[in-house]
Amino acid sequence: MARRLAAVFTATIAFLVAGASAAMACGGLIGPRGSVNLLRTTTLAAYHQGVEHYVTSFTFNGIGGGKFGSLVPLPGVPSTVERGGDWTLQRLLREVAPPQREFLAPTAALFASEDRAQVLLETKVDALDITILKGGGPEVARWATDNGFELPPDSPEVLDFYARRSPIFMAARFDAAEARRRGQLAGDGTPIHLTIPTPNPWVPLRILALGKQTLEPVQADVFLLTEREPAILPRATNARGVEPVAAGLVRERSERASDSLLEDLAGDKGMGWLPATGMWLSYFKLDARAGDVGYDLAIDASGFEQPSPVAAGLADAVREAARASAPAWPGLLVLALVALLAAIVGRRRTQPVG
Amino acid sequence: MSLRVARLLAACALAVLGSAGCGPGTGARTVRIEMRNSLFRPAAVSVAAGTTITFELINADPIAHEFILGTHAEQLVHERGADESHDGTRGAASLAPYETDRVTMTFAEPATLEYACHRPGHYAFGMHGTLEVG
Repeated sequence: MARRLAAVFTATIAFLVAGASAAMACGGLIGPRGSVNLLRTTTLAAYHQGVEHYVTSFTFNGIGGGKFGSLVPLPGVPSTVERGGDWTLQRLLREVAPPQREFLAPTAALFASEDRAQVLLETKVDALDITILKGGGPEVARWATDNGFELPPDSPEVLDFYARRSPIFMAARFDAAEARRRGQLAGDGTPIHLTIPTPNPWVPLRILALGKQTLEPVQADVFLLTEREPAILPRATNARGVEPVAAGLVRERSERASDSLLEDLAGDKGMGWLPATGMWLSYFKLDARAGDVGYDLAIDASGFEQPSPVAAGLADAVREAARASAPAWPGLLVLALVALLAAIVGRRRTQPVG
Repeated sequence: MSLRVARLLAACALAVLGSAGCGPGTGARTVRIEMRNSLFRPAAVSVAAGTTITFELINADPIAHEFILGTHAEQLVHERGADESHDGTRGAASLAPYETDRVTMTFAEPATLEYACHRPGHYAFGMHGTLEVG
């Protein structure tokens, strides 16, 4: 536990998406009144002195009269939710340039307000309405549904998958009217910075596949900043080890963060916590089929290299593997004992009563 | 001893009948269909032509679902449709989270039908089943 508390980790992001094309299907629109989508963009998760700093950007992707949103599983309750800096994410992308390819647009959305899920925090950042929720998968899904938003069909299972580990979710939705009033155009991003005290951060990746067909692509750029080189589980496809492989996850960078990068990042709004030196930069690129992304990214930056299978969402798989490889001798021993008893009983019965 | 075995067998037979939802000898039958994790259980049902079926529908999910009976061609039409609700439509029901409902239909002729949910993405996700009327 002490080791865990002393550990330095990093965690990241997740988005909830649902197919925009499905909005025309029988049964209702994806959003209650409009055609605005949230697109996933780049995310940074940094862990420093027991606090996760989570920075991501929500992209306004259309003009309409409604609201769309996103649901992000979190490893803990944020102490603050505020507008992110203006260049942090862009600077990270530049650090790993050449210029990034365009994301295939993961489509829209989900979420909303209230009911049995507990609303811990509500705030507004520009045209984004942010709600921090606490609840199990059914409660959070119910909360979203009750607020008129269409959840994709795999949401009951996926939300349960996350709620078993952490019942904290962030719902973010664009207010299209407010976005227009502020002059936001399609493609404009709104960065969000969450500060989350937590001893056990992780990077939710499975949720990126939410609402997607098995063969649809899931693409993500995940930046980690930690105080030392982290160990992750499952391992990237280009990393050595015996751990399970994260299909489609490639470690593009793993290096001491340059002083210039840290200086640039620390100069951005809300990034003053970042040390001037001694941070480790990891950059992972996820490019996989939705059906293959059944894992999250567990990170142990403590130096002990023991990322948690539970945090990776692999607990069941690990348990199954352990069961499969368990020695058969306990069962054989029981059988042998039963056979022995049967033999003794049989012998007594055949003995003449004297 | 034989009486106990007979009782046990009788209980098993009743249980089997109960789980199949059979109405004894009336030409009517009840079929329980659960919607969980956006899948129908069972995903295949067979009935005899001329039987009146009452589908007991249980939405065990925290999201809304539909139960729409029809041919495959009709399902494709529904998949492109935009109806918010199918309540009141013959052979169909819309269920809010955790809601239950009943749909009763008489199937006079042999046919191969589907029951499906056409909430966005649900059909493609696999939320459909087959009803064989033989």
